[in-house]
Amino acid sequence: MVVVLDARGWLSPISAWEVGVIPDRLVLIRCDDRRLWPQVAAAVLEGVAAVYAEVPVGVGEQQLRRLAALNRARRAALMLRPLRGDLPAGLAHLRIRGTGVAWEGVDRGHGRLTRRRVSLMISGKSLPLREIEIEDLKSHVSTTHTPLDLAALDRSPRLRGDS
Amino acid sequence: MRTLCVWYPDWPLQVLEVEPDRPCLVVEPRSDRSRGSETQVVRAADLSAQEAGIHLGMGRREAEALCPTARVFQRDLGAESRRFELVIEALENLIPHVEVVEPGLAFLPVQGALRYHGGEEDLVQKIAKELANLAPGARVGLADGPFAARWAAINAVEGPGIVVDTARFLANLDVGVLEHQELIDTFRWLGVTTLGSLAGLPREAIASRFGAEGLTAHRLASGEDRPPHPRPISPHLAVEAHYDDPLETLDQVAFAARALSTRLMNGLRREGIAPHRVEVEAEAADNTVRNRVWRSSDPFLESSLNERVWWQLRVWVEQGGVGGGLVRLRLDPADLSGDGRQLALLEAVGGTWEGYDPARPEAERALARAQAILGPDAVLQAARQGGRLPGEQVLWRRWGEESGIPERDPAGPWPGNTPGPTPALVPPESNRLEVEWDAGMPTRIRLGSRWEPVLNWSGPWRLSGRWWKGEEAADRYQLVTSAGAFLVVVRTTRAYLIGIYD
Repeated sequence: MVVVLDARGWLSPISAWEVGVIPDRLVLIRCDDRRLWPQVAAAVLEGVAAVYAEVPVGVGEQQLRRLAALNRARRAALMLRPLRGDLPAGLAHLRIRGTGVAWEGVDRGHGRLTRRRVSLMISGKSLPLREIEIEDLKSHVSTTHTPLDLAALDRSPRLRGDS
Repeated sequence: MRTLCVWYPDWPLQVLEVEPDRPCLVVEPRSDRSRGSETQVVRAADLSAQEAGIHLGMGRREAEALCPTARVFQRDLGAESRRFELVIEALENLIPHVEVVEPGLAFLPVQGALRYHGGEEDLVQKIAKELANLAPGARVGLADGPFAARWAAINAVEGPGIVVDTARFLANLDVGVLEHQELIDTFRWLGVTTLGSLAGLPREAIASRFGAEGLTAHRLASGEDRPPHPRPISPHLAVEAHYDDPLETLDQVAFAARALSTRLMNGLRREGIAPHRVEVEAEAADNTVRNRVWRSSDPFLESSLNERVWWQLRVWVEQGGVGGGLVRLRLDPADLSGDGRQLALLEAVGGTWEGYDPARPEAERALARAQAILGPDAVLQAARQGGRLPGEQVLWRRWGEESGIPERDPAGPWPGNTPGPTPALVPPESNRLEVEWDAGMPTRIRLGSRWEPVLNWSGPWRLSGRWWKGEEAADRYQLVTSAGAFLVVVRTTRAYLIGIYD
């Protein structure tokens, strides 16, 4: 099961289904209250193995560190995306930062969006800083243009990141 | 759906062939989840044992202390199923479709048979008479759905019970019938003593406070026994095995049954589902085909399914029902369970499929707790429905609720539909967006405090409004900037942001 903590109330489940998440396995939790958010995130991590969470503005560093510690104990996959600013240093195993996005397929009124190229900066505890480019075609196929040493990721005990 | 329940309270005693000179008890092992151990509990007790103060579910030691002279037997499900087969055959002569839950308990969907047998009263009397000749002691109840029928049968001490108004019948039942001690205790403590008072509480409140178990209880109390819209299982999930050399010995059949039920459960697990019903079909070398439906109120696990397939085949083989040996065996699942889906989803958490799954309540508790903190409306699941704009294509429901029927058919053609990929962010209501135009072409848009030049765009695509609802026509654009792409709708010169391609 995948649980998404949606701090803005804007995340569309359709785009998750389009990349292969089964509708029945996706639960969205809407929470924009920075005081309740840590409680909810901790409650969800207690029982769910894959969590994507937007971090609302104002959640404190201590609370994020406590959450990370809980996650280490639970061995779940937690992905945090702060809505403003950065995560505290040393929290994530893997840090993904989008540096650029280019959409293709439209041409002065004609066509429609079909292809996306995203440039990402990736760094992590077991990975040196590197830049990769990902291309999505009709939202299903993703190819990396820069080879990424995935084996190094496998060696890291848990995969966690923020963007 | 009108369902008839046939229940023998003391079926385990019926198969014992002993002189009734001393009190008799039948015990079966029950695992104690909280302690992780297994204890023996009383499954059946004859009258003299009951007079000594023994009741069902009591621990074996306590029962033996109350009645030291009692003879204690282990439950023999194989023998019980063999004996029960006679009852099922008699029932099948009257109603072709029997669902066996366990030896001593069966449900019969009677809807189709009512007119033939001349009404409910006649049918029930006919069945009661038939059973009284064959194996006395049956209780027969008729109501809407298996849960109510079961309780109609339990209460039918003085002859068959027909429940006409199921909702009223359930409303008067004590909450103790819910079979979940923790829930029952809490309900009593809260002053909710009957199913009627439980059904009267708002479902959202129950979901928020008690999670999925509370929801199930509320549904049963409201008379919604099975999911109102069971999702179909695709036919390829049924499994079948052919045996070139007919299987004749019990050992061979047992092995085949085990292999096939494992195969079925593996297939279902991949789909993330578990069935409430399984039809077992066997073909003998002499071309006779026999089938039987087994039903369970909890979705079948590999072990419980395996057990039932084995009981059934054993009965057929021992009765000589598969002449010349077994040449084909088929297991066909039915009544897909949402529970089953959940169970499979949670396997990733580290739970096991076999037997008790510790991960399932864990995730349900986690989500129920989130629901308790934020309220039921904040924890959501979604299904697709038809529509032209991304926001219209999602049918939301609270987590734990049955998915509703889409208002708009997702399979419909939807001319003017926004082509995929879908924007990852869809604002709940459309927000005004400032767009600058030059001769009908977008040149820049305002994002916060800065203006972002439009690098490229597609559109306008016309969305004709539903004039019968007073909607105006609108134009849809996809705008690409260096900060990302946006889905925008323009209505009478005003632009609204309806999606962000993140």
